[in-house]
Amino acid sequence: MSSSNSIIPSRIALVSDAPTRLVYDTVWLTTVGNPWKPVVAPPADSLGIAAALIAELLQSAHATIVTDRTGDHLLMPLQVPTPPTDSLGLALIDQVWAEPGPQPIRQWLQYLASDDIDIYSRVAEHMVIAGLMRRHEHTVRKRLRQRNEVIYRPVESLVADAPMHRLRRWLEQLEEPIAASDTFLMGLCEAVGLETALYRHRSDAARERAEQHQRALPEAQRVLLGRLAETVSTAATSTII
Amino acid sequence: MAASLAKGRLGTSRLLHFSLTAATPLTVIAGGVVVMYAIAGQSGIPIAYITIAAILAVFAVGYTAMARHITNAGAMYAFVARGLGRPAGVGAAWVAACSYSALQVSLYGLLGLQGAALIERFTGAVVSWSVPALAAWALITVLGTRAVDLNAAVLAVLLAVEIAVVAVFSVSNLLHPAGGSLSFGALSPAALTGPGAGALLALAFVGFVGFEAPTVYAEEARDPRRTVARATFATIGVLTLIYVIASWSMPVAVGDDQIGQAASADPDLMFTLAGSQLGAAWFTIGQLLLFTSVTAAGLSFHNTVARYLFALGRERVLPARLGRTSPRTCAPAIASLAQSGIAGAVIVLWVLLDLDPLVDLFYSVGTSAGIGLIALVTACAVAVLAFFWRHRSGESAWTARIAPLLACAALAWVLYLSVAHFHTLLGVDQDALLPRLVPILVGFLAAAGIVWGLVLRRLLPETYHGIGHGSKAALAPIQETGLR
Repeated sequence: MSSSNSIIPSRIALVSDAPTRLVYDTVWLTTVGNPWKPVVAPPADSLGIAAALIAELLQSAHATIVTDRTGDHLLMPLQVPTPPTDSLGLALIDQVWAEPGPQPIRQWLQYLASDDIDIYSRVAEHMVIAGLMRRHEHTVRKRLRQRNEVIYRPVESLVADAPMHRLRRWLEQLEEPIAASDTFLMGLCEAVGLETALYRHRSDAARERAEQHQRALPEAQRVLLGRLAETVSTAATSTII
Repeated sequence: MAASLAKGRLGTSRLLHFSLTAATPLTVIAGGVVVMYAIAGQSGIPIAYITIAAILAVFAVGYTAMARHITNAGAMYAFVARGLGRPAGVGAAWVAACSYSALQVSLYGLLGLQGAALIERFTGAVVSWSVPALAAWALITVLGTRAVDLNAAVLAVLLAVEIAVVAVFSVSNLLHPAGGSLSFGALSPAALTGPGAGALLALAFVGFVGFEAPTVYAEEARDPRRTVARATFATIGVLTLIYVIASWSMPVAVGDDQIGQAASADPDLMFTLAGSQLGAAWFTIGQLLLFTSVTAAGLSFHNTVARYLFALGRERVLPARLGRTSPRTCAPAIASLAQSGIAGAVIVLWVLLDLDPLVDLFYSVGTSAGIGLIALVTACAVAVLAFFWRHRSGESAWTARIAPLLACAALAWVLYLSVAHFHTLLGVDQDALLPRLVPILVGFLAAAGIVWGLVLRRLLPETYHGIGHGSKAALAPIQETGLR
């Protein structure tokens, strides 16, 4: 009894000390399940991670979203003195600059979520280096062949569960303002199909509050969430007959 | 990035596969054509197919051209919303959702009877039609909420097998003509006359449902300007070829004068002919494949309805819950379950009221849905004309003016004939309630949808602006203001 009591404060400290960023939280939300929150199926999980990476570029003012003559929304890189501080952001902004011109947001989401890119593994490797994930290799037999498969597990399950608990707590505390990044995450959860898990046992007032905050997001982030919802729903309906 | 994404784009052949699986040819031939011969008592079925194919080809000129100018092709109601205004779009959406839903539900009647016949043939056990119908319902319910690749794989195998069997049966009929020589009487335009003409055109039209599928995938097409149009015309061409040859082969094998009587006496005429010409095993093979084909048709229409409900939920024209994806499968699970709920309730209701699954469910409900779908395509043709009247968008006079005008006139003629001869289709008196009730119901749905659209304009302007945008509905308020 006494030993478990001594463990709990250290686990809580792990949660409060863990590095948080939009893309990490999105990985926790979409790829680590628990009894109350299912794992999000492909390609919605990868699309969510892709949207979080782009949102980080928007937040750090390394890129913005512009509208072309046809009403399409394009991702445009911005000239800033300092590049993104981590390899994920740096790799993405390099790719954005390498394009001959601004490309539609929808195409960026589809490209980053494609199997060729394997965005989940890229971000998960990053999280391994940050000490948030463990990398496990094991052999599986598929179609009469043995192959090595890599899976990533959270080092601390409380850290992985923290974002959903945090978002749901925001919805309970009607007086406190919701952080902008968490407002974005709420929109992201809705877009990838986690709406039920997010709003379970929450009042209509909480939902209205979340909608109000989402309407107050910077327009570029609202567009990004709209395009994410559009791409997920296209993926949900386009390949069925 | 563009090169990487291009690899996953849809080409003409994949779009053609999508639309052919939606049309399920064996169901139309073995389930529909024999019924048409029985009802009409005349041999003009191949001409009915040719007539409808010609009209749809003209309609497709403007329809596929409009898909090039609307970024979210969506479904037909999206075209109506853009061409005739958002309230009309809501009216079209309601008619479309109810018609596709009714068409899907009607298939359970045929499914149940075919399944019961197969069980009796293989086991000797006599079971109610509701047992196989409910088994198929459970299968479609599960597949409808699963990952989409599974559905595509199942449908692809079924399509290949059913086209092969239709080809084998048709060639066999043509090689065994009644009287020893081929008769071309069924291909004469004079064969499509009399009060049954409208009924035949309506049933022929239902056989082509699915031709509109390529426009839904316009944004994913390799070359949206060409691929969608090619796939649409190829669908109409391939279906016409299959339907005309298969429906012509039956009177050739039975005799032009005998076909109506033979079809009335034997609903399995196609398989009976194959059994007598190729061996008894082919009768069973045909029945078995018809069962799988109707199951595929049921699954295909189930997914069409789910897509409609999902899009309308996304737009919040219907409850937003319908527009949610399942996190576990990334499929429109709630919309899919809603259609399953409707279908399950209808099957249970039919059992409780002891109604006939073939006449009251498959024929009556299915043909009533056909009237709704003809009305929907006619409204879409008017919307295409109105759209290009306002923005010619660099299209030729044939594409933007002449073809849409001709399509409107021809489809209005088909709609008029179908409604006027609807009693023939149902096999009841002209004064009976049902033939008058169905057009009124379709009109009521359209009017109620229009009124709801007007209510949304007044009370929920954000929702109103999203009408016709499908999955882009959430972006509509942002696009109204625009970014810098």
